[in-house]
Amino acid sequence: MNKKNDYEMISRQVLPFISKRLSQILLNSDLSTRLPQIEEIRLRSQKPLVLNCGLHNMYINQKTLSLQENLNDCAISTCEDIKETFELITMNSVYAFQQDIKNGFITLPGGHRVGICGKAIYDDNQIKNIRDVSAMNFRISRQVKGCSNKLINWILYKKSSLLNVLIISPPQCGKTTILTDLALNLSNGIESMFSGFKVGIVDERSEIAACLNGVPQKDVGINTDVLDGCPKSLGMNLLIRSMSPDVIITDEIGSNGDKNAILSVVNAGVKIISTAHGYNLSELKSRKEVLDILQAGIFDRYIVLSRKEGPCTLEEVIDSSGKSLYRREKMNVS
Amino acid sequence: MFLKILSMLIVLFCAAFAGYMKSKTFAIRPQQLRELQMLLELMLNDLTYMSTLLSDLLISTGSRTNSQVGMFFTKAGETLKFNNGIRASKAWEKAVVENIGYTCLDEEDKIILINFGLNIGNSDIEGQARNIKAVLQQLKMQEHKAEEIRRKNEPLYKKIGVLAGLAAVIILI
Repeated sequence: MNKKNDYEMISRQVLPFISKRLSQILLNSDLSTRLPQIEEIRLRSQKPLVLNCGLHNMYINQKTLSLQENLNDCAISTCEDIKETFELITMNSVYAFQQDIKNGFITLPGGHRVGICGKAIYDDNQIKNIRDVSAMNFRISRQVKGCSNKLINWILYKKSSLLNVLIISPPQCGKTTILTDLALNLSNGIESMFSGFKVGIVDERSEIAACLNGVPQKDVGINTDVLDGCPKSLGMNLLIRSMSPDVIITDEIGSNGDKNAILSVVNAGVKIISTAHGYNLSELKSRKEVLDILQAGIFDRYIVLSRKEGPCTLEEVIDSSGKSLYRREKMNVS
Repeated sequence: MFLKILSMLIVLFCAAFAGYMKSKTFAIRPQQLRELQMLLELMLNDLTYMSTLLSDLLISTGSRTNSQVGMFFTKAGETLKFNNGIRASKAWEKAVVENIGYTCLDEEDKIILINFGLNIGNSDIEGQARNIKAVLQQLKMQEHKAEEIRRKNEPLYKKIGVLAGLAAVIILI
């Protein structure tokens, strides 16, 4: 997607959900001429409107409406802006988004996610509601088709089968983007490499397929079934029984019950591709729940990502015995 | 002579009819207040059990009656659905202000309805249910008052119509 189309996508799919005053500021600013790659738009009550562009933040000067990297005279998000924006993202139907609000985010058409923060109402060991919303984070969703191509060879086994793979990376390195593209590639198949697999996605947080009213907003392929909003531990078993997939794709393992669910997937002869937060494999082992899963020897490959050469940089590939098969710095394949 | 009697009868009939029409407005208001309550209860049910989006909820609620009060719901729902960026409270207020003239509701009813719109759609199910129940209570009280007024005024205006007609006839004689 070129920068102009990217700007048009944001102004068409995201800005209508931001308060009239702020969206006017954004539309009239020099955003349309400078075209920065916006990753997040952050609104905080009585704080500057922040445009996160990867490694740096930008602000809008409220007098000249020009983008700047300093805070002088920058546009502020007011309480009223937050209130109006919240009504817009919930389509004036807060009650209909109660489950999403409990989870802390709402998915917009196009797969963009709005994280919300405010006063949490806590009862019975769970968040019942978030009210008095004071901050919002619009995370711009972009499907990067082809970003998983370089990973395919590490996931395929003899061109006709798949390996169990865990993708490891810190936040904002493209884990979910890679998963979405993997689902598309594995589902549709790649000519000259393999024909498609039956793919099942357990999308607990509506991030991989970004479903809206049950319809995936991202292209996840013709052979893909999406179980949206379901806890991984329940969803994986349900998918095996109901849709008999060849591979299950799920995001961010490490919760209670994940280990048993993954074991039952593997024991059923279904492959699994998942992700975990972390900078490398050894850091991951310090997390007890993940360590249990790693010690069970489920995964055949560990793929480490970073954003050293931009999002989705392939950093390292490690096999089940811990032997490094690929490392970015050396740029060689052992 | 015949024409004279005929024109007197017409005057008498017109005055009686005007009195009857005026008295009827006192009977329609409690009826419309009851219909409003019925629609709000239906809305509460759909909101609680189906979590329908507000625009669709308002349109479907409004379509359940032929009464003029259904217009508040239908028009507010349509405004929300087809005007991107408008807030629910504004859409509801616009629908009430523009359509209350077609009903027999009075200024007090109008204020209650506009205030109800201030919290429409902007809270969780419990909050919405509280908002609807609160307006239901207020409308119930308005209905009682409207019934009282109807009991007093309905026969009164009918009689006034006939008497005014008779007075006009006498003056004309």
